[in-house]
Amino acid sequence: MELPVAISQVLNGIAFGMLLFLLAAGLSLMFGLMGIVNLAHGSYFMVGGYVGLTTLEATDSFILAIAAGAAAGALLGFLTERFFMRRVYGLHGHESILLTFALSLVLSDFSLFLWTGTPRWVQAPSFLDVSFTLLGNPYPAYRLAIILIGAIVFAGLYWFQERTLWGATVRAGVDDKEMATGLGINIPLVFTMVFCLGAFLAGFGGFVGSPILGLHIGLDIEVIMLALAVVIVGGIGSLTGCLVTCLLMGLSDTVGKVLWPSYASLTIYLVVVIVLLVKPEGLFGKRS
Amino acid sequence: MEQAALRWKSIVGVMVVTAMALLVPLLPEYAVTLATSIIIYSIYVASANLLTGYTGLVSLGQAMFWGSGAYVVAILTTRGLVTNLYLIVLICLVTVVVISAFFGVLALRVKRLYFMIVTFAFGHVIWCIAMYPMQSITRGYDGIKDIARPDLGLSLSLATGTSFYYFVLVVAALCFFIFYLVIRSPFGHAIVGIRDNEHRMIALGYNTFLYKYISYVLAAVFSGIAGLLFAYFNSYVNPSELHWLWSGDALMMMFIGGIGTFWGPLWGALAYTGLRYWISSYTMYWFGIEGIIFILVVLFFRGGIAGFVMNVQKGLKWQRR
Repeated sequence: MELPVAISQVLNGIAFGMLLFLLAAGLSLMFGLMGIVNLAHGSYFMVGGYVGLTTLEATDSFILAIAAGAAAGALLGFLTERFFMRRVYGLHGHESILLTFALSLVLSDFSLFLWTGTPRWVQAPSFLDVSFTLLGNPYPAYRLAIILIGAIVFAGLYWFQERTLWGATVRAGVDDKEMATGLGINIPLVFTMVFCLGAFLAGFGGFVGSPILGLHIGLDIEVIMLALAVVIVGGIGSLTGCLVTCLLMGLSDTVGKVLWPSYASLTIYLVVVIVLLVKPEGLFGKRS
Repeated sequence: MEQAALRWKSIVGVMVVTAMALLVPLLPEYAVTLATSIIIYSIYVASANLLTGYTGLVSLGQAMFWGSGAYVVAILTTRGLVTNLYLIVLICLVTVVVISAFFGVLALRVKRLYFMIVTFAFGHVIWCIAMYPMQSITRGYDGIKDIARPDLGLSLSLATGTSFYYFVLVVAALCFFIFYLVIRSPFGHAIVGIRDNEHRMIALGYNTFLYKYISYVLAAVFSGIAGLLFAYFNSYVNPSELHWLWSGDALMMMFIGGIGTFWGPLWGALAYTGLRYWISSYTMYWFGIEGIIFILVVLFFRGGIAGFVMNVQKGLKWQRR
């Protein structure tokens, strides 16, 4: 492979990894804080994308569409936490899985009802719908924008988690819920906020990613699979670990698509198997 | 006293279920077909129950064993590679054991929710393999059709719905009897101990990994048998048999019936299949309605049907006092 082609493939992998990060950051934070696996997280991604699409068609504004997609995600996250998840915390664990599984079924059929089964594509906004020359090879600007957005979101989340009082509260909740409650922290409120934030990012990613991934029924399952693979490989640890894992998965996905096209969807799971064999607690996970 | 009452109750239960099962062929044709599928599903759900309800391992990858069993039958019979039923069963079991032995080693390296995620991912891997790399063998999305009913080698024909129903019934009775033996055995008590407190079992000197591993493989074998029956029953197999939705449905049927109870899988399969049959005749959005039902069950009906029956019995006893 020539160098310019290789570089654009690497950039593709990074862009895909950044989209994964938007999804996996919330998922792993929920896992760490509440001890639940939210199978409906991919649905926020898909519904966010569809709501953004409808907004884009109605208002012709890409920015408004992003806001609407993210808001739809956050709203769904809020409803999920407040009316469903709150009732099953502290039970065996399979209740939360079944509940979010059932929610994802409902949201999937709901999307099928509202947006029909025809796959849709979203055009990147005109000012980003250009390609420029990278070492003599054309490369779409939109993918670079996604990499930039991912980096900004990471920086924002990092700042939030490490430098703000709210972030400290969340970290305290992850470390020891009883102690945090004893210190006067309103843990149920923290749960709701984290759920909203995670779902917000998922809805945001759903629309931002739609010019690359497209929108179709079944997208929810495809992306939740990848995000869960990130959680297995990365383990529940730091935000930085999550980002690195997402980039690793994005790159291995791209490498797979280039080298073994017919096995493309499986390279990520090859990484999963290797990690399970070598370091079952995950690359960045703490040994429990 | 309590023991004897319990024994009587289970004997009566078995007799009622057997009588109901034997009387099904008096019903119209479609009811016999429905009953056949319910019994096949109940074997599948019971296998998931062994793993989740009794061993405490929540697996979202049970469909890969069901689907593997079904695909082995579909591929072998439609290509005319093997015609002997007993040989097909053997190949089917070996395939399922090999797959579960491989993935079991990996999946059991992690615990609790991680185990669920890992089995979920592995189920997806098998689905992907059937869809794309092995497309020439599995025919991808289209699936494999025209699977002929098995030939028992005796002078019995399984061509009619009723005779096939009885065949499935006998196999299911055998499977449930084995489940009964397993659960009553020292092994069964050990896996329940692991479910309730694994650390204590380790401290008592049990090799808990080995117990969980055997439970995983055993559950896979019974899922494979259910899948095998389903392929013959449905005469058509497609990738949705391997899909995680079907794994989730196993958990849901188990939950509706009553998790960790012996008859729960049967009641769950009955309720699920009945509802699906009824609701699908009105709307194409079965999955959405299924989701709503599941949500209501998880939120308000957590013990499932078995738990409900138990509560009613407790209530009656309370009144009598």
